[in-house]
Amino acid sequence: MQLSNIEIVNFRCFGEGAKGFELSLNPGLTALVGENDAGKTAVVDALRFVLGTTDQEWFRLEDSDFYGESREIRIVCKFETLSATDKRAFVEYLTHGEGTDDEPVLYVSWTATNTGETYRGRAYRRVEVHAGMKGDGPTIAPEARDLLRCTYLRPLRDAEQALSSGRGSRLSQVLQRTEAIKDAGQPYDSTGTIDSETLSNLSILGIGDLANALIQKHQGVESARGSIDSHLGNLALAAEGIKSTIDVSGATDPDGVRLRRLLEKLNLSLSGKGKLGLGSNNLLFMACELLLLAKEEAGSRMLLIEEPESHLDAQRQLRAMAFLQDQAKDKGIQVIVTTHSPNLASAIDLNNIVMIRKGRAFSMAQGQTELEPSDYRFLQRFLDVTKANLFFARGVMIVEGDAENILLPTLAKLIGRDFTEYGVSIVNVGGVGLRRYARIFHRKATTDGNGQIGIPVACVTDMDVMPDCAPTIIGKMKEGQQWPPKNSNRRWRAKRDFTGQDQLRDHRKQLTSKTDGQCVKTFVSDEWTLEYDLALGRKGDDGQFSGGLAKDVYIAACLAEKDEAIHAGQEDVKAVRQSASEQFTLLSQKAVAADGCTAQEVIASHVYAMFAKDSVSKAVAAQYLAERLLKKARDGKLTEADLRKRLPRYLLRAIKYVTSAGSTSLGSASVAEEAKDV
Amino acid sequence: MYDTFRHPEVTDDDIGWASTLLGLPGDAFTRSDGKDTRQDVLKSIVPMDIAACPGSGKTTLLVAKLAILGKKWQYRTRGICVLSHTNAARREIESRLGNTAPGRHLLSYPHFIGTIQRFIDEFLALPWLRSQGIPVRMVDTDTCLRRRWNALSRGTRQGLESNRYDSSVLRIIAPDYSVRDLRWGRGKLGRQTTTYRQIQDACKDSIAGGYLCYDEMFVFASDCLDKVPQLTHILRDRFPLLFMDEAQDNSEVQSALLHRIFTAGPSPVVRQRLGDPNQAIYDFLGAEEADTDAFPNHANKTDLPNSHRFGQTIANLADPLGLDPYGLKGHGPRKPFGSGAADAEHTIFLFSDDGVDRLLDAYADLLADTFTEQELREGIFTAVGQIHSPTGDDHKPRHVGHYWASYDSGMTRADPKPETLAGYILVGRARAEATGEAGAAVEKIAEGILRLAEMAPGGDQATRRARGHRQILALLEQSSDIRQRYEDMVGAFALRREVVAKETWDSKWCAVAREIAEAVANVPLSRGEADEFLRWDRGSASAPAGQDHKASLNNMYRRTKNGKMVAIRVGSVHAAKGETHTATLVLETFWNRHNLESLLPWLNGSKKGKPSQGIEQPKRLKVHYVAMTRPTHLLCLAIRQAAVDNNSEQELMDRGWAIRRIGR
Repeated sequence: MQLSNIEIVNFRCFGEGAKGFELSLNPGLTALVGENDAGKTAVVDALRFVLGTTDQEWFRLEDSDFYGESREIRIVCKFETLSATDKRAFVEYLTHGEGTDDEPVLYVSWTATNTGETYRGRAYRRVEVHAGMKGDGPTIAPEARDLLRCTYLRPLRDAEQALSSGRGSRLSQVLQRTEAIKDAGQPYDSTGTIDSETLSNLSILGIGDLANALIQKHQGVESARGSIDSHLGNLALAAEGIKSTIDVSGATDPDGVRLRRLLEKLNLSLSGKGKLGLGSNNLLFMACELLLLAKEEAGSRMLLIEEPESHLDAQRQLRAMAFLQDQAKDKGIQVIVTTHSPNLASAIDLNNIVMIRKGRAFSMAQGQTELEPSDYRFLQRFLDVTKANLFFARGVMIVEGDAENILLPTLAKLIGRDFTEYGVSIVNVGGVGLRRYARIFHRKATTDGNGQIGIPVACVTDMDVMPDCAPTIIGKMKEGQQWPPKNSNRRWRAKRDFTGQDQLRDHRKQLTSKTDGQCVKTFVSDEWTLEYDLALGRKGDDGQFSGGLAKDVYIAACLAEKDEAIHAGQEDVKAVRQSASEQFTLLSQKAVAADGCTAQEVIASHVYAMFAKDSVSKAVAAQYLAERLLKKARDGKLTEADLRKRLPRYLLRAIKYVTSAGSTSLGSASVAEEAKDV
Repeated sequence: MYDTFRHPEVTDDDIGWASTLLGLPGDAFTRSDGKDTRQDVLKSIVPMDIAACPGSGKTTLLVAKLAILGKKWQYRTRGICVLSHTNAARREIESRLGNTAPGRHLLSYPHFIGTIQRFIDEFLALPWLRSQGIPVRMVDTDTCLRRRWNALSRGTRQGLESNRYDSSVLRIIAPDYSVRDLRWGRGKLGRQTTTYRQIQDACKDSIAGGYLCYDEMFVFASDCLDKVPQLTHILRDRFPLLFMDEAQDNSEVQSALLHRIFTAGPSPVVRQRLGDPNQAIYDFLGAEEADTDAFPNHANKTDLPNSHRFGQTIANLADPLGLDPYGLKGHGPRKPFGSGAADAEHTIFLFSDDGVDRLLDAYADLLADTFTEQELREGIFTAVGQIHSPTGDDHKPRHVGHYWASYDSGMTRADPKPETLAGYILVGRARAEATGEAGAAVEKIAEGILRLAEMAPGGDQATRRARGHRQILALLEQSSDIRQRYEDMVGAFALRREVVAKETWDSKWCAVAREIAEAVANVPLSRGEADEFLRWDRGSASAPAGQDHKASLNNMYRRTKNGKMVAIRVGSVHAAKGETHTATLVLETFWNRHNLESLLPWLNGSKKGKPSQGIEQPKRLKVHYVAMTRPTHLLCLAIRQAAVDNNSEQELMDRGWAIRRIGR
């Protein structure tokens, strides 16, 4: 039987109505991911309350568990795909469908009411568990509820203790349910004789009983007893006929109790190793729990693990996750994990991921997002640990290349919007699939703002239309060459390919429409590419460009060109910088307006021409540029206001948008506002 | 591995263990001649119908068997299903095994021990109605019919009345909400008529609102089986062992439905039915006797003809009244007479018309003469009649009340449902006294208030819960002054047991109760029904706690003779079914004819078994067979003098009856 839906009302951060929580679950493994305080633990705790846990731990309801001023918490679990055993076990609690072929489902509705009464000085809360979709069915019998208990592994659990011997050890519980331990072998017969054959046929309990008997009859024990008796005699009590006996304690307890005591003596460890680390113990522990669950005859067969990554190194995390996913699938066990680990998240099938954000659940399963089946396959291949960061962010910036990846966080920091501070993750798709990543955040069929994820997602991309002067400057065309026809095989476009502003605007719209929607906004470079736009700067009211960071970009490009030589000690940084600076001055002095372009456009095109060379790596240049800007800011040569004036508009807007949710108190409504604002 | 069911084996050791657990001698089930069929019954787990005579220890047998099976039960998701018509079987297990581990286990999930109605409700009708969004608030035919009747227009009510129908026609017979065909004037009430529609709507609305009659639950249960074909499989999987007690009382509707659930078609469950076809008296209530899967099935029938209740004399006197006399064998009673007598004088009281009121005294005197003081203190002495509710005053003695004017037929039920609020208070007090727990009184008062609230027309209908008191407190949470008054009332009657005069009741409590009920219902009460319920009741809440008053509380008739105190419990035969008495007096009552009178040929031994024709006489025979097989020591009958001439008197004496005449 599978938990297919959970609904939570008035519990902790979940309210009522539109503020309530609802989550549909797939069979197998589900990972609840999201930033802190989003409500992941509340979901897990809600399940612990409704279903109960196998460790029988008493879990107290607190005042603070009630949402706001509410007085009734309601948690409803819906179970589907019931096995024959489940059906018979819960037959009186089932909800039947309308059609004769409809399979019955089971609703478990848990309510806690704060009645205002007190009991022995404590606030009394009435807790009831009923069947029925509206909780209008009968109270579910405690014995039937036992079948629903889930196995719960707390975060940072002490696996070592759980695996070691002692009272109530998990290992003993696992072993107790193992048929071969419970049933195999013969009991110890105190009247019979013990030969090697009966000895080898003894059951575990039999061995324990035999040992008890032997201990009791041991001559040391006997002689000790004898001397006690003689002391008793000396105390003149012997006349009263008092004799001592020495018993093994608990030897006459019921079978189950004796077996448990024996099994509690066992320790689980790995041979050949000394003391295991916390991580290995944790793995061992999870394996134990899965073993236990797989033996369950009926019921929820559910494993709740909070932060399975704890104590595990990155490689082990991936192995553990793969193991859990496989086991869940093979054995029909439902596993729900919460995690803060992008590493773990990257190992989980996207279909199984549920983002929890501000008390709402967003399943990434097919059908819930705008992602196409091919997108799932693509993302499964490429969603690595760095990209998986996007599940834990308050803002996501999706970029197409290394240059943006390196530069944008620096620029943001320099204008007072530090990405780390604002919880923004940057995802570098490396040239392909930008739209697929963006679509992760597109919910299917949401008309109201409620169903939206509400994380500002900014996609930054290039317009890729060069000014008319550029083709000759960057060597796409020879001087004086006739402009090649538009539909020829060339892979570049310039402004004159578009007739007027309308067509350019349409082109821009086409670029944004592919990704825009809900919380995803696309920011297309104002002119051509990141480097060009940085060099060109912002267009003023007079139609002139400010010149932006042209010199800095140029110098960075020159440094990048000589990067290897610099590292090899063949070139001196200062000298390179000095010569670059001089070249730039020369270049800008020479520049005149041409081909309908302003002098600034010509200069910027020349700067960009550096990047058109194979010898200049955009990434390396970006790194030099970032360092240069940071240094200038440190030296007081570049103020925040100054930089803001120099930066192209699209970057300012993208940074502003993506950090809009970061300033903690802003909700999704203000995200939309911010977006409009810029 | 989990999915195959293998029933536990019952060994001789288990039987010994169960005997000890039940406080019986170790050979309890192997006594008599050493080859007691009861031992075989305990051991066999195959389909079986057990025809058990009165006093054969059938219930003990069932309890012992359940204890053994319960102890050995390994399954967490399968259970034993034990069905009966009353909660007697459940109570028996509660009282005899309730404090043992197997007993507690049996009484809870995954097992089911309870009435057929509860089973049908819990496992079929309720889940089905719930799945269709119908929240069932109350299953109670009386309440339901009253509400539906009140929902009809005046014209429709008059129309029904003039065609001699009452509220009992206001129930559906099929899941499409159709009601039975009604004869209307000279023709039939057409389904398209407004009247029919209104009747149907009254039923529909009431069901949609969650109020259903008992038999309607069977309609929906059967609908559920139609629509969820796998349900029989699921239920058989859950309950691979089925026991049915008092199987002779199954109606056709019950029998057919249970047959369909558990035994029809391939892979039936292992079912064992226990009962006595001679004691099938509940069909008397108007339901059709079972035809489908009738009990007993002669193909796998086992007889238990040995009674451990009474001796051979009573066995001989009662045997001819059995529809299918199987030669009752009297192996009892366990305890001989304290007086040392071998047998008592089984007596027929012949009373004259003016001797009726003295009959119970005469019986009491006979008891005082027959039994020792200790026996009188410890024994159970009863006087029972077939008709015990007031039905009219002609053909006296028509009902039990004609022998004792203070007799209250509402009080004899296991869960009495008095006619007035004062009656509820009284029953509550009696209970509190019997159990020593004030809670019983509190609950009964709450029940009365809730019933009063239900009489409010169209008010917020409170679902009755097990804890009525809590429910009322919750409903009155917002109106603290009324809540206070309710608490005062409970305090006065349940805790302080105040004595209240008619004046105080009329001037104070009546209004208080009305106010509370209105607050609970959230609408004003109408007059009429509510007034009637609130009327001052004879010997009610105010009555002094004297001996006499106490005596009438639970229909105990008391008399002292020669310094010996005799207490006789007066009631109906139906209520006495399954009981064992020390002495039983069977009272003459009237149902179309005077009952015992018409049975004279069976009483004097000239007739035996079921008559070749007629349906009235077999029913009468069964009821009186039940009555006459109750006592361990003394059996008495009361018959009108006028019905017995000298000749028949002689015949009765020849048969072994002693005759005493009362009045002239």
